[in-house]
Amino acid sequence: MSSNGGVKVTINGQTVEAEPGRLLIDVAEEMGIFIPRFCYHPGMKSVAVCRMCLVAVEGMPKLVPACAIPVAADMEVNTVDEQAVDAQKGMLEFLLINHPLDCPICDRGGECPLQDQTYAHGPGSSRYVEPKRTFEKALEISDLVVLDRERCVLCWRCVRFSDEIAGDQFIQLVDRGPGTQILTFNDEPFDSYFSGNTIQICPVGALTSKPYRFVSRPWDLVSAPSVCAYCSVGCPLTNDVRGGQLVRTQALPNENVNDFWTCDKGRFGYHYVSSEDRLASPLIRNVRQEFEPVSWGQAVGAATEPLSRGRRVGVIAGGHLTTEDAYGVARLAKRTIGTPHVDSRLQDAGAPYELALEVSDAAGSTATINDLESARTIVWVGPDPKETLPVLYLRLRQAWGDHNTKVIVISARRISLDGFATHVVRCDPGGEALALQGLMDGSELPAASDVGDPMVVCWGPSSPGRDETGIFGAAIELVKVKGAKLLMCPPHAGSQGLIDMGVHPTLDAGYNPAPTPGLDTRGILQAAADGELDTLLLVGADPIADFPDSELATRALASGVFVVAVEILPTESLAYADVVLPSAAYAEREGTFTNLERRLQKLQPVLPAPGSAIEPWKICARLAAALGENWGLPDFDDVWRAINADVPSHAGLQADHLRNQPVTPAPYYESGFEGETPGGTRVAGPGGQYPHGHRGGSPFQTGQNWPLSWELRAFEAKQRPGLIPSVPARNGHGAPVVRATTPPASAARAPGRFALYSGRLIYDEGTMVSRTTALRAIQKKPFVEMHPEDVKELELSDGDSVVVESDGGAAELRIIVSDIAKGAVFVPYDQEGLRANRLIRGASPTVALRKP
Amino acid sequence: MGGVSDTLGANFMTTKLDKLVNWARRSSLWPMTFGLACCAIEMIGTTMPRHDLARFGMEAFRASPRQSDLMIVAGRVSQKMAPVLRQVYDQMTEPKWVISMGVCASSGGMFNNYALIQGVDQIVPVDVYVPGCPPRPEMLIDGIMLLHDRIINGDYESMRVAAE
Amino acid sequence: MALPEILGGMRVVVKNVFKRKDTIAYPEVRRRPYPRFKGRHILDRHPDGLEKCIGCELCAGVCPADAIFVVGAENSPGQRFSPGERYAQIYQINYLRCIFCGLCVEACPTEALLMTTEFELSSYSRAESILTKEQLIVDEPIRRHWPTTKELPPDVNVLAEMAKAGYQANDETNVADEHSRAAAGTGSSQSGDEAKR
Repeated sequence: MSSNGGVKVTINGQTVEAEPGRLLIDVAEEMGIFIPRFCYHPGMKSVAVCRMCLVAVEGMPKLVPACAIPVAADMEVNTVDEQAVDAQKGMLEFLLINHPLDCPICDRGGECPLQDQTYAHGPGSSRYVEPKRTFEKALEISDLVVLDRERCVLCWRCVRFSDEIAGDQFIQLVDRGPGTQILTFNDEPFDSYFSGNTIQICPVGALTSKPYRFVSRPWDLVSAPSVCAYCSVGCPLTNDVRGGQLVRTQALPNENVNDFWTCDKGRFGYHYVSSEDRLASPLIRNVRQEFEPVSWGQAVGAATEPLSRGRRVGVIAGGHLTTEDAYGVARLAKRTIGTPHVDSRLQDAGAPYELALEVSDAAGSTATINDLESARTIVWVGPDPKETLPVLYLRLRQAWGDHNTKVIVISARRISLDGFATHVVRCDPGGEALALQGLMDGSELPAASDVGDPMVVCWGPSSPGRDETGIFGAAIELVKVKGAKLLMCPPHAGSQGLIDMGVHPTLDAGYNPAPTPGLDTRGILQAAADGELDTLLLVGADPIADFPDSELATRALASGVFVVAVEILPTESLAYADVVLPSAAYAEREGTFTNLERRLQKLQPVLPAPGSAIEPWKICARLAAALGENWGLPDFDDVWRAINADVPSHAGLQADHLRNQPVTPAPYYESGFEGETPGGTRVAGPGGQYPHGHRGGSPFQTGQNWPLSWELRAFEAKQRPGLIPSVPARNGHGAPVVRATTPPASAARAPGRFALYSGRLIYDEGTMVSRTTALRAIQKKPFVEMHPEDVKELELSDGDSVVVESDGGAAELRIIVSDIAKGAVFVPYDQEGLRANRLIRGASPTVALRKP
Repeated sequence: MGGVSDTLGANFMTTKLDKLVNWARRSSLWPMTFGLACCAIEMIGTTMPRHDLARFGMEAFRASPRQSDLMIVAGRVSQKMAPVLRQVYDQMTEPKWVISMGVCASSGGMFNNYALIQGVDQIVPVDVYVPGCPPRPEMLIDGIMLLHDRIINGDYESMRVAAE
Repeated sequence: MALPEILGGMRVVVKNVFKRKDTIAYPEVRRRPYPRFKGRHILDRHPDGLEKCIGCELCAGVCPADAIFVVGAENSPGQRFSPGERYAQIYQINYLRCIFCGLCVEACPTEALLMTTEFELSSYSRAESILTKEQLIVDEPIRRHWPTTKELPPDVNVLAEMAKAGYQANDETNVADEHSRAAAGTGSSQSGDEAKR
């Protein structure tokens, strides 16, 4: 034992100091010694079933699996021992007995750990001449995953993932002995939100992606690291392009954000980027009121005069803009146009993010996602994370599973966290604030009141249109009283960045209070509908589909205001636009997304944007130039220099910081790596003997080709950790905090009225995700969740139809009896045939129910 | 400049004369020496007795662009050679034709890189593309005969417009 | 005097006047290339009519000139093109890039891609030089540009030489060669039926 608690371990003659208890396979990997493996995955517990990582340890009578042996003092290990090499060869020969040689048509072929390790560690020939075990090939176990049991090497990775990480055991090992196979139960589909991860971790081609099936071979792909553009977790991804089309995205590991995982929406929802209806050219209305493609100069010219009306201009930005776009929008609106009426909250309209300033120097989280794992108590009040922030759900589940964290859920309806939460408070509709207060003074849930430190309070806007001020206020109070950390969960990839950059009616860039508070989204739309605004600038915003009162949004856009829209795809709101400016999607541009823990992560372009589409911040700069203010920001570095100067919270941050992240030594996953490690050790992994410098393909091919499997891409991506900008401490908190204490709705409930809860489901009719056919196919049909007693009172039962009525409209929906507060109903926000925002009116929306 | 039709106007006589002129042009193409790489060896081989380009009245490869009316671009065209090639083409007398011999001249071939023009048709109009790396003499003769077909059937003016 | 030189020269001339003519009057007369000459590709079929090509893109991957473009797709029970799961939805060879190195044929795991000895591939445009799957598939006859009246054997009969050296010629001549021979001597489209089987 050395002074700092490490133990000395000798592997292949090299001695290192390692933390006791770490796995031998990890320690070796960090030294640059690759031990072949199939079942071991750093994100999951070891099972040591594949027996590929057998090594010789001095003093042990037999070979031991390196993935199951923790390092101990003075261990002497030999991974290239004759016996060990023999065992590895033998194992591969066994694995290949039943593995079909259909590599030419296998989607894994070319980036396959089994191929790579066979090249490096295999016996070269097989003595097995008998017929192979066969199964029915290409079983479609869901709309996203195809299973080929012949190729399976029974490593259990998928089974363990479903069990340990996702918590939905749709896939299992069945039968015994030589008949063992991976299968779903009773032909039920592999109906998991995380099924795509099993495809990525499968070390052979047993689980393959259906949307990507036979689309491309790995050597055709040009890839770049990027960040998911959907929710605010911000999983790092690689974007793979073939022939100018985005054909695949895969998760990149980042232990701070997503670990190794991403959800199926992020993984399969990329088709909108190469969708045929992408806007490629600026459009203006001609005399017949039809859109006509024009040049940028003409379009910007047409938008200039209407945008020069100062305070009579309203600006609404959508949640999928990058941090730079947000800077551009805020600067264009507040400084160039000179209007305070700018907001980015659509679906989460009215969410009081600025309240976070009471406990934080930033209008954002004080906790990081990693804090969830070190917390002893997690309080969740907000939307269903599995539907809206799926990877955060995985991290919460991991925190609970690995560290036995107490998880307290406060919700009016059953959400996915209830499945493992230690305490669930099923509050009355609108009673979340009271429940939180009760939790504070111990009146509610005494069993949960012995909350342990450290504690993380998570809050997100739970239901579109609902006034959240009271709930968030109570959550903030809890944070203050218990000295907890706050994890604020805005819905979209760009939401936090938009707040940071000051696309907010009461906060300027860097959370400074705006000198003249402007109107929020609801106010802007109301003012437009009332004729108090002349011009609306929509940047990636679709108020008709997203704003929780589509009637107001439609009225506002149809009121005769001049609408300038910046968009990537046609939306419903675009029908009312006068000038349309096409923008580049996330895979076509440089930029950064700020995730819910305020981590900045960089996007890399890998595709050209269609037609003349450009980044929204460049569009803002063009509009500003037309309005007479030349920003002089030609590229990404310049915009960061400007952000650096203008946004106090991001001072000192340069584009270089985002490009050149501090490199943490990354493990050489799976395929090994040939070359020098950061420590200077020469590595000859399984990739070592395979000429991957010229792996097929032409030596003259242009473009960036990633070598070998995704695990190695992860190495190349250097575990991009992102930056969390530090915020200068502020004296006194700026924004005026107005807080309403919402009384429980049940007390004031009008007879026959039900509190309306809503929320997005993972696959819905959103502009981006609905372009993916496979995800549209598994989208849930609209339904209404009701309390059993309410259903009984209506003399209906589970599965019946009921008419849900409000001032805005009516919809006939199927009843799902569920654990929801009495007097409340839940309707998904945007499913096919149902726009819940047609039903929502006001800040505590209610509906009436009747038999059809 | 064009066929005699320009000078004589469109009448019965000139269409016949056009054919005659085209026949004459076809039967005595004088190629410009433009061997740039390995394809040039095959081009030379084509003129040798075994293939005997003289059968088509083409044995006289001219070193001067002023005396030739067919440029056989035989080999890869580097960025540096491109202006030279264009100038030589410009100096050739009308009517003139171009055969792009071999894949490098036609599309860059296996040299998909910054140093080479990815197809000589980016700088001069090409009438016939001959694939091969390098094309054997028969392949070049095949291309030349396609060009003959084009010359005898086609109106030079319209061909030029299409190619440009 | 110069007379001996003149006579010497004339002797060479006279000698060559009576020699056999070396010129092969292509295109009327053709010399057949060696059987292993690498010419235009064809895509073969199985005896049951299914395509041998499985769209694996190995040919495209190995091609040093990036001349091959393949897009795979999945066979459906209703529409089966090849045995197994995958077939080539798009198969194109760009003959203005192809260098006839034959690596694609070597890489082909199903022996679907073969090379014939056909070489009349010149064209008037770049687009014509990209041959699609419909043109490459074995049942599509290879159209020669020029009718041939006489076909000569290769310069040296390699097979005969090999036989002389003791090698056994394989009875099963490869499809490509057969196909080539079927196309030989014809300017047009009668050769396909034989190869179709």
